[in-house]
Amino acid sequence: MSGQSFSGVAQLTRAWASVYTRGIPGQQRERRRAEIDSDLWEQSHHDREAGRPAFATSFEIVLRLLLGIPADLSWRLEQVSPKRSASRFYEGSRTMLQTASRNAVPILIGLLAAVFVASAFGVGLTGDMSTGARAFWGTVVGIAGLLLFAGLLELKRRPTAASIAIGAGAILGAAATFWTILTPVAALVILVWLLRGSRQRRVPATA
Amino acid sequence: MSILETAIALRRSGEEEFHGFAIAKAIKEHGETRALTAHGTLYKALGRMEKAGLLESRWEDALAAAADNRPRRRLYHVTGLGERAYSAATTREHQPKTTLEEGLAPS
Repeated sequence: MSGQSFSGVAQLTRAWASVYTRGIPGQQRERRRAEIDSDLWEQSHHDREAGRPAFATSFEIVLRLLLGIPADLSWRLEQVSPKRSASRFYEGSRTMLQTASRNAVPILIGLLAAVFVASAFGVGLTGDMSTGARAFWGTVVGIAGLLLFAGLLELKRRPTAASIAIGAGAILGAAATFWTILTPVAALVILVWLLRGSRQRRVPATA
Repeated sequence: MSILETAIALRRSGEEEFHGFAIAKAIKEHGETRALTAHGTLYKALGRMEKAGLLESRWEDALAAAADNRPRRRLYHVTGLGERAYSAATTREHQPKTTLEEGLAPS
């Protein structure tokens, strides 16, 4: 899991970079993507040399990714909007939206997994439950998050097993946090996406 | 500690050029932040500083990266303008307040 968790967050970071650099002139786009790629390599190499656990590296990368999102978006606006025509701006935004919509559900799965794992720790801190209940709900939500993460990492290699893990994680997590409304809705979106994906895999391409 | 300040400190310690992760690590090690600077914040700032003429950058030799079996680094260095801007900023910071500024300061 340790090496996989790193490759998973590295993939997530690259996927996000490919989303927000979409539609930006070639040189700038390639430069940003290459710099992110180099940064990920340098950080993993440095942490490995320092004997730092892979999950700590993965956690820090996710943090760097999430905290940098506002700057990424404003950088994108700077690249697309100044001295460019309205049509170019519209075109750039459209391609970004297309890429985002293609990756929207995997990003949603990643975010939901992160929320569940973070909640697993958060439940342990809340004081309005008994120790046993805190441990139980923390474990349930934590398992849901880990199932989602594991499924996301294996989605390309073992789609059926990964879909089962994601589905189970989404249902488990949503059931444990149903009062938030948002998590059941997100789980529903994920389940519909998984069902559509499995149907497409079952029907062979005829064209 | 700012990017420029850290880059100048690196330069004084013999590292003429630096890449993105190296400067993030140096900022963290100098104790200003407990975490590495976020990707978006870091590369946006580096780009802006380069545009302003405070930094210059180049891709490192592809062969050097291939020899280490890693992606190519974008290497930055502080320009003369960057040095002067940093000196001017630190001089201003250490200048004693004028009588007018002291008078305007809240008591």
